Amino acid sequence: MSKAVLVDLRRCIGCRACQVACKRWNDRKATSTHMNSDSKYEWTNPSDFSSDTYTYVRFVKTGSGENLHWSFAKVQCNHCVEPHCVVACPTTALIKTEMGPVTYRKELCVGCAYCVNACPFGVPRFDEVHKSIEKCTFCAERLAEGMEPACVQSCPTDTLVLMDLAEARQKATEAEEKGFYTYGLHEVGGTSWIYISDVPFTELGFLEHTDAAPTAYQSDMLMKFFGTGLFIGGAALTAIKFYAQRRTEVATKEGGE
Amino acid sequence: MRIVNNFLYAISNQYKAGEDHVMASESLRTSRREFLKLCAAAPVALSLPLEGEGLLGPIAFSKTVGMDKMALYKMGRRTPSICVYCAGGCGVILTTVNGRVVEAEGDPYHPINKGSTCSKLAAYIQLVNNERRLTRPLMRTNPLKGVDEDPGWVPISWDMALEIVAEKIVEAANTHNAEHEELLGNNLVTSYYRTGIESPVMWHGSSYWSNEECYLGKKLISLLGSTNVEHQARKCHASTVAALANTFGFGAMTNHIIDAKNSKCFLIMSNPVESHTMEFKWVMEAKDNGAKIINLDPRFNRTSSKADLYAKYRSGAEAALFLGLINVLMNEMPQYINRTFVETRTTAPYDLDGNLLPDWETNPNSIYNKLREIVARYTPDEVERISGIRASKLREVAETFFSNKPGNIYYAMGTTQHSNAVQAIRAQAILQLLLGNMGVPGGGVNALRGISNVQGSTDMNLLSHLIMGYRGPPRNVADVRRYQRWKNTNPAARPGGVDGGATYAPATKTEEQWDSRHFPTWLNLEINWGLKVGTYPGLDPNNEPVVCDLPIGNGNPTTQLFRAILQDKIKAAVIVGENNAVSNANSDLIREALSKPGLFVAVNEIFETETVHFADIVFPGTTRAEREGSVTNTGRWIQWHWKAADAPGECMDELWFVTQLFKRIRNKGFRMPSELSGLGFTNNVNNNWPTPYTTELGETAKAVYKEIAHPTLWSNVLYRGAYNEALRPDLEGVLARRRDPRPLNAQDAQYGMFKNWAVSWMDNQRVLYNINEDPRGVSTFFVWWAHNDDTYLGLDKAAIWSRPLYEPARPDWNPLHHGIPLHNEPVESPDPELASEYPTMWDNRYPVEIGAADDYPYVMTTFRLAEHMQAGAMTRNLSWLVEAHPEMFVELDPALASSLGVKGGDYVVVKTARKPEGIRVKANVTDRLQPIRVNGRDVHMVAMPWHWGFKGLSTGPSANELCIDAVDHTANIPEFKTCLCNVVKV
Repeated sequence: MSKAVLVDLRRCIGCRACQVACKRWNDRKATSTHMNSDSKYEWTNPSDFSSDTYTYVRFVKTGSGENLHWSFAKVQCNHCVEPHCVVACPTTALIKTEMGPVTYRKELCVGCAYCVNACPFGVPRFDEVHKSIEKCTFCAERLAEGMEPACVQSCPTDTLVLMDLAEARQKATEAEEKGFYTYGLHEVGGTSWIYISDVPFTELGFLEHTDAAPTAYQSDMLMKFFGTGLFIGGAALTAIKFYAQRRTEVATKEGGE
Repeated sequence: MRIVNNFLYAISNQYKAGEDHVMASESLRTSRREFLKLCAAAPVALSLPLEGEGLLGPIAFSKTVGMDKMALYKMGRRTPSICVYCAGGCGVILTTVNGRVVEAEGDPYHPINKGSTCSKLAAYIQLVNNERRLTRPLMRTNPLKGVDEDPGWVPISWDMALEIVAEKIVEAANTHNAEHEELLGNNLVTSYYRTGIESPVMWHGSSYWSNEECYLGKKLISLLGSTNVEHQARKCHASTVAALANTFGFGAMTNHIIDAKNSKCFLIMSNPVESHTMEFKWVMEAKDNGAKIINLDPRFNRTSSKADLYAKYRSGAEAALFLGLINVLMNEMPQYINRTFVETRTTAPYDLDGNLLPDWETNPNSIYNKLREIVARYTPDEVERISGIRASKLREVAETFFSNKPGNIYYAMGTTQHSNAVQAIRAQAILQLLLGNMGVPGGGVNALRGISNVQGSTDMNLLSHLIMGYRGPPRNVADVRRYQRWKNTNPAARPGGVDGGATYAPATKTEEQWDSRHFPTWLNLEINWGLKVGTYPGLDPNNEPVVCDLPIGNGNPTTQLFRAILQDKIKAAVIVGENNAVSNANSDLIREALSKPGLFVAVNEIFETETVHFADIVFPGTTRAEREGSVTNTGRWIQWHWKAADAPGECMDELWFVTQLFKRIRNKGFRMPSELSGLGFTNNVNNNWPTPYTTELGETAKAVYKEIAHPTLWSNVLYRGAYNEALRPDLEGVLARRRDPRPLNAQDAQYGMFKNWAVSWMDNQRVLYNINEDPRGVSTFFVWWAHNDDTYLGLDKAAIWSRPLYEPARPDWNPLHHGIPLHNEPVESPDPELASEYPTMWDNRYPVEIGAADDYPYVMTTFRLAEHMQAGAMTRNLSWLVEAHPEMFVELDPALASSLGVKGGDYVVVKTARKPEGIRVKANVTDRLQPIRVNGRDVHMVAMPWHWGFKGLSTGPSANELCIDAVDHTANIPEFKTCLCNVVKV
């Protein structure tokens, strides 16, 4: 059963437990920051993804005076149902698992950074030191053990709740019908992390994806494996050719002596 | 609904749900077979849902990121502990592999946090495994002290460090006179005792220590004859203790953390999201059930972001706000007054002489109408003038809070750290009494306490005016003489009582009440500590020498204590787990005191803090992960934490440290007054150190716990019965170890009391003063009240008018002051007109620098951040938390910033009368702050977090360098939260 996290920003208190819990479980270093005094995003630290930051909480002020509103939006990989990064990855380092996570195998990553360019949300980051990409993995290894992702477990107000994808989509749809805003129901064909908010997502700094129609994911994946197949097939043919050639050479030599 | 976390539940179930078993470490280790099975399952989970899987996926390459961590995690053993940060009392599970903590997460089995954390607890592992920790005892080689002096640390052995400190303490303590001559009739008698305040030895801290460690600390300093002992509680909720104890009986949070879910309305005067994050878990649950959240705060903060109703006010106007609400309740919305509750459970229907007035609602002599008379002044318009909250907004707050019952008041430092804090808290309490919101689930006056064991350390009374369980030390020799007669009355049950000696005959009812409150504690301390308290030989206590090993009289509260150092009255200071150089108001004065030549400073710490910087000897302490004991959370739950790992390097646990220190002090010849008397007393102090149960239980936390909480020989009356061997032999009688989340009964299930989980004081009661709670603990209010010393009224009622707080000597305030609270301006008021109409309560008990509004036009306040803890040592040394809130800053409202020409990120200098040269900080210009209209003109609030200091991973100036160290009239808590400042652009 594919899992999802429903992120209900109406409940978020901006405590950043998730941000730190992620660093802890994934052994990520702290990045160097300065007090963020941006008039809209003040206190957002760190203020972007990095190879050491899989998730962070964006502090966003909207409205003014009596209607001042302070929202907190945890952002991370949205774990697309049909992920572009997986399509783009030439070595299948990036995979979408049955349970929902888009995770990766570092040993297979060749550092091409195709995924960085392919991601519609600007999530994956290239780790210059280890020559590998880094991003949120949905704690795939924890899900596999029946555990919640580290951030979800840490959330004190149930802003983050792990549930089945179908249930999350249903809850978000219900919220949408009540006039709340959602993110991840329609964007890029739907994601496994689905947001509900009482503030429009454009105001929270989320990228707008009006092209709700899914991309040609299946055909792309087919092309990818077709391409990989061609590559491997070609390599095999080449190997056979070399082998045959060498055998001929050896036989010729032996025969010659 | 949160999805059940199967794996962690499986772990938890190994504590045996229902049998609240302590973890059995070996059984928690995943067996090899299970482990292999889990490994075999992993590749399946990772298989691609597409054709082509496996093309490049041989086993060696199928390991996704995170699987190594999972493998490590599964190898570990799990140990339950309690979070070390705020007083929420959240459960922690520590996972250790080969003796090293590899994961520290929220305990999914714990009823309070259910596996979740705040950012600080999420980062806790960085506190435990931290390269910046102190790991060896250090000795200072540079005799000069000061912020800019290099201490010149050299490592020394524990043995040498303890010997040096013991030597210095004994040297100082031996100058403390224990012989006192007194003319009784015609006889000159020599009594033997020490006057606590005259002791040249002081002890400071710590709320991070467990109950057992705090208890031993208090025992040690008391045995040294000193009442110069203080700790964090003086600076956070001293005013709560004074206000609530004088209103209800106990000076503690009346309800508990989870109880928030039973509330229908919250009036939040604090910032729980940032200071007590897990409390908000339960506030959100109540909100889900329709509860309203009202937040009043000078700054719009993270709590305000979730409020249904937010209003800003000027810091320092808290008492006026609540008196205004009482005014609206009594005059405009009397339908919300719970008449039955007021009549049956408060002193409102009585007159000041204690006569019940049947017509109390109309009789002008009733306390009810005296209150109405006093609050008449605080109309919504007047409250608007004082506080800046619009009258219409105040009425909206009133209507919302009054109409949604039970309503709950949450407050913390924003209310407690003022020169009139006791008044403001009393006003909150009176409002709740009138509404009938007391003694019910979901109601209460809830003091949110800030440090994981600050309730316990306060209960153990690391305070200068109390000795144990909020009982006082003897005030004078007359108390001791009366105590001897009291013992003579029943010599069989009271050791030291003399058969046939003069017996007890109290002169007044007040005296009798005081004695009955304090004597039983002295008796148990005499037995447990191996002391002599009484007269010799005891037959005629009024005419004999007094021999008293307990120190006599109150000591110096914290602000006065550091001034005593500057006056050369203190020679040796032991500071443990407390960072006074950052956390005390006017911290430059504290730093000057700590640098005083002739003062010897020993500090026990885990990091090199700003206070360590001034030490002569530094002891490396341990984190909570490395020792065991009990801690008491803000809701009075006494919970046990188990040891998960050995401490790094040469770190030694705190219990051992205190135990060793006193042994060495005794070896160096320190003697008790009874031993010095030459009257032939053989003392048991050595045998009873660290506990009377050492032979049986060793020098362990469990033995100390037994001494504190024994059912009959308790040392702390509040903890009486928390040790019960008959009830739980499987837990060795330590009820704090109970870990059974199942409800005790239907009531428990309905309200989430968790009475089978740990134990709480008193008698496992979870909602204080709840007459319906079963089994009953202390269900009545119990405030002593005698009209005059000889008219015993002993009412089991809550005090609307408080006789103990009544000061007839100050009629200039008002005839009832301050038996009924009033608003008084802060010491530094921005408005001279208000300052003259509502004069400050500050009585110049010592000189402080006071600034005028002309020189310092803005109101300064301080606040806390979710990511940082108090004076900062435990968070400013953790890189993940420093990343989240990296540096010191000051919040300025946009109007003020623009008038100063300051943009966000610019540096400004903030100045106060304490520090006219000011501190240089980065400006955070934010519309969350707005000017507040006070008495017809705009007042700007300037706000700063107070977590920073000059040591640690992230350093910065301390806000407390600026704060005023004038104190509350009753409770001696400094006015951290309000002073006047000026801001200039650099």
